[in-house]
Amino acid sequence: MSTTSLLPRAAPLPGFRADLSQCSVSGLSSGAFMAVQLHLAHSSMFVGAGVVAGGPYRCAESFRAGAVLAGDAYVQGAMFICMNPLIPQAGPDPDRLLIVAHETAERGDIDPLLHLRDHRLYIFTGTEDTVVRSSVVFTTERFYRMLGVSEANLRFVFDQPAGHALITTNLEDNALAANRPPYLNQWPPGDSAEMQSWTILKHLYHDGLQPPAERLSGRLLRFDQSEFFAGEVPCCFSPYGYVYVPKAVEEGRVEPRIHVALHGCKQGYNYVDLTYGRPDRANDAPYGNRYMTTTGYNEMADTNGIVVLYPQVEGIDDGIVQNPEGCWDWWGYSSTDYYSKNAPQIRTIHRMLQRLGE
Amino acid sequence: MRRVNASMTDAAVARPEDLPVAQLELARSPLPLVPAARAYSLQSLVGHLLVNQSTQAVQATAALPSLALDGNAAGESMAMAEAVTRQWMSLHAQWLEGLAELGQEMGEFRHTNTLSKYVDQEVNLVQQALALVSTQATATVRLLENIQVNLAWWLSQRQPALRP
Repeated sequence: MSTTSLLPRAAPLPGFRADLSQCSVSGLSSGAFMAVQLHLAHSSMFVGAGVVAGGPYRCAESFRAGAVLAGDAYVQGAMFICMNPLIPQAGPDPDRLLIVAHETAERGDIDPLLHLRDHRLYIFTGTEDTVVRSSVVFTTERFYRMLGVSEANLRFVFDQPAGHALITTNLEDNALAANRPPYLNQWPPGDSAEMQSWTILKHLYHDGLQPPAERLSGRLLRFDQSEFFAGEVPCCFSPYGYVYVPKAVEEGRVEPRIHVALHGCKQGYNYVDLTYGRPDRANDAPYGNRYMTTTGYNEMADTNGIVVLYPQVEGIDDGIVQNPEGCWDWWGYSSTDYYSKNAPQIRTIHRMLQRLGE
Repeated sequence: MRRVNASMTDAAVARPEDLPVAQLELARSPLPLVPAARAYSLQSLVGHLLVNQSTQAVQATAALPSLALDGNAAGESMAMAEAVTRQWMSLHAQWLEGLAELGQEMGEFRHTNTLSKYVDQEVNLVQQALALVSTQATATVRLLENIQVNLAWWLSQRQPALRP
């Protein structure tokens, strides 16, 4: 059951007069799949996207004819075609998905695809990833190339022996090749090791970012996500979202850019693991705030006038919505329209961006 | 649901309202609907499975003749068979690892200070065995679904007219 309506409300998300034409987005796993949907839906607002272990746009609909009901076909497509195809030829077909993207844009459901040509893309898959096969992420790279993203603007990393994770330099995180929660792995110690979030932001904002802060000057604010539902209850937002605001931005000294950082499954702050199919409240909360406090985004944002938005979703598995692991909706669990500007989760995140621009 | 395995920090203090609150919760639960709910769930799944598998089987069958003219099909089908074998071996390896861990724990000579701790340890072993079986069962069914969907999708791509 959602906890959204049960907890006291947090303060509203403030506005910072951000430049809404300079947004970027990145995510891991379901956050990466969602980053791609959001990126295409509102490409006029974005300058690029970071995709760590994610598949191409509307990938879950690859095999619509595989089931009579759309919901069945999309889940099957997500699990077996977009995450674990037995061979690359049984994975997503980027040529077909490109046609789908063009059709969606022609209907006006997403921004014109021409915006994407100048965008910058960082795409990553680890050779040890056993959750989302590398062959799927190769199709993401092909998909963006076919959209016109240039060689110079697209950085595709596929030769690192990493498991399914966002990679950090934190000693507390899992070994590089691990494929288990919290899905934060660490680079082996070395001079060249840096937070993957820094690599992503440096690539997306190629105008030369300042080095990350050694000590944060700004604040991580908790905000009420429910005010962005506008009378609806889009599944499965948590009660609170988070935003990192550098001090220079809070004092109005710089016009900020916004980076949207989307967590993966089982990484929302209030995710609770399931034991025998039930939320294991005795171990609540197994994940907490690690994604928004330890992945390095804030340090890089702090010195570069970037506001980092961390929207949060939670697990719901109530017989109607099947999202027990708190994933972002990239296969239609909240609505068959999960990919357009009008999709419930995309619409809600867009409202948050609008607020930050006020 | 409360987990069976105990710890020192488990709430053990009794409050007067514990029983009435539990009775109220039981009264609120849809117990009379349990048989109907389970039957509905099973019937719904079976209905979906039958329709979906029929759909996929029709598409796969329709694509079969085109395989004869497809030079890549033999190689790709061999690759898929190898991938299935690897997944199956991986499942088997997980089963053996689980058994080994369980056997190791069962073979340890352990000391317990309390009867409740002894019962806790014994029940935990039973739970672990059940968890191993259920994990294997779920993973096996998932692999079967994976094979079926992948095969149908792969075949359907060889029959362009039937592509969605």
